Amino acid sequence: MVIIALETTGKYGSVAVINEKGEVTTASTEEELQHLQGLLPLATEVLGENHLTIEDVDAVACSVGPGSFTGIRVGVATARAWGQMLNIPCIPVSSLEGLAMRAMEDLDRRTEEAGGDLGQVIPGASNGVLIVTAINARRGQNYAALWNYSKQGVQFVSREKQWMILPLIEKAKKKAGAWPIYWTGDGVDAYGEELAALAGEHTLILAPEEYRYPTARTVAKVGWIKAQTPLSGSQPMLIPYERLFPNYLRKSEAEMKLEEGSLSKKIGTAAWK
Amino acid sequence: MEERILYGEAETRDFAEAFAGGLQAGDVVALVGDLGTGKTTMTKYLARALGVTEEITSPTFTIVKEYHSGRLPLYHFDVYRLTSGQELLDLGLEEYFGGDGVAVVEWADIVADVLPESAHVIALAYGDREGERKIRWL
Repeated sequence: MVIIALETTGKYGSVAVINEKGEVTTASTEEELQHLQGLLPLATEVLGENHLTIEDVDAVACSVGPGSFTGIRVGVATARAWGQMLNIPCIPVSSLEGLAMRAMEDLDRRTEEAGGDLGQVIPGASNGVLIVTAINARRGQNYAALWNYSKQGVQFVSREKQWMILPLIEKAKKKAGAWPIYWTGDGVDAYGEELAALAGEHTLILAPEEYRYPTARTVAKVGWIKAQTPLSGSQPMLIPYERLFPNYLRKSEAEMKLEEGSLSKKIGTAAWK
Repeated sequence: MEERILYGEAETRDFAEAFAGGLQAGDVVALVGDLGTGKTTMTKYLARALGVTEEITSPTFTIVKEYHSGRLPLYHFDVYRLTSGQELLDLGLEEYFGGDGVAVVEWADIVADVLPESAHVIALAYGDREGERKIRWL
């Protein structure tokens, strides 16, 4: 099965192709926020490197969010168009799943370099590591999910939702127990202070820059895994294009109002009646 | 919160110069006031003070307009057409706040709930005499 994958939820857009042998080729935009202009040429490039055309593709894996609203829409619209034109299924992938897979690539590499025992290079990691995939949602918020990384691979621990940074840190500490924490996603850049405080109390690894951001490479790999398991419980992994939707994960304004103070009060005081 | 009267456009310009000096990347300026009280004029002078060379025109139809000629990118919003902050979120426009430039939002009261709490507020009203404006800011 040949799968083409799109990742447009972060600052850079990328396209990847995974071929029948499971080999992945990726290309990304070089400037920020060039998803719209850059995506289709990248797709042509990546297919060309594999001596393929878009007609050879069997499914489209698409990162549906969370992340940049506009970016998500560019990806989902493109994936739906391909699905419709080529009559092929779409595979929705969460941007957080893509980040978890990327974290696994980093940790697998380190484990191998350490001769099979991660504990040799990360104190306390012999049994496993808790991965936090966190995307900056501004105003103190993160879109985040938690995962266990161990010899069994990566397992989902806490479902994706919107978190304020401090409760997220508390949850991570609780779930990690004695395991070190690996924090990835652009939340690393946004919440440096809070994470520095966490590092004082718990073994914390911040994903190196090259592993920290979404990439179509891992969306392709996750898509490929999903394609091998057509049904997960009652959830089909491959869906018709009409059912591919964005996942903004954004709480509505009404829900957020209840949680934090708003600018309305400040404006209320200042405005001339 | 401070308050004063601006006697004429030259004072508006001077006010904007001083105010803009304190603006940094990621800042939001919430402009509040009735039609004609000078929100766009204030924006024009804030833009000038930031070094923007292009002419500032009302973004009523496009909601936001970007200016990149100043010392910081300027994102000029007019949300008069919107009915709530949720619409701003739906359009994906909140990504401009806390970003790499300064966002100036006219009719900010309409979308107050999705603006950051740290936003600067400038509230304008007609003064007693022609050409005068009352201004409050925090």
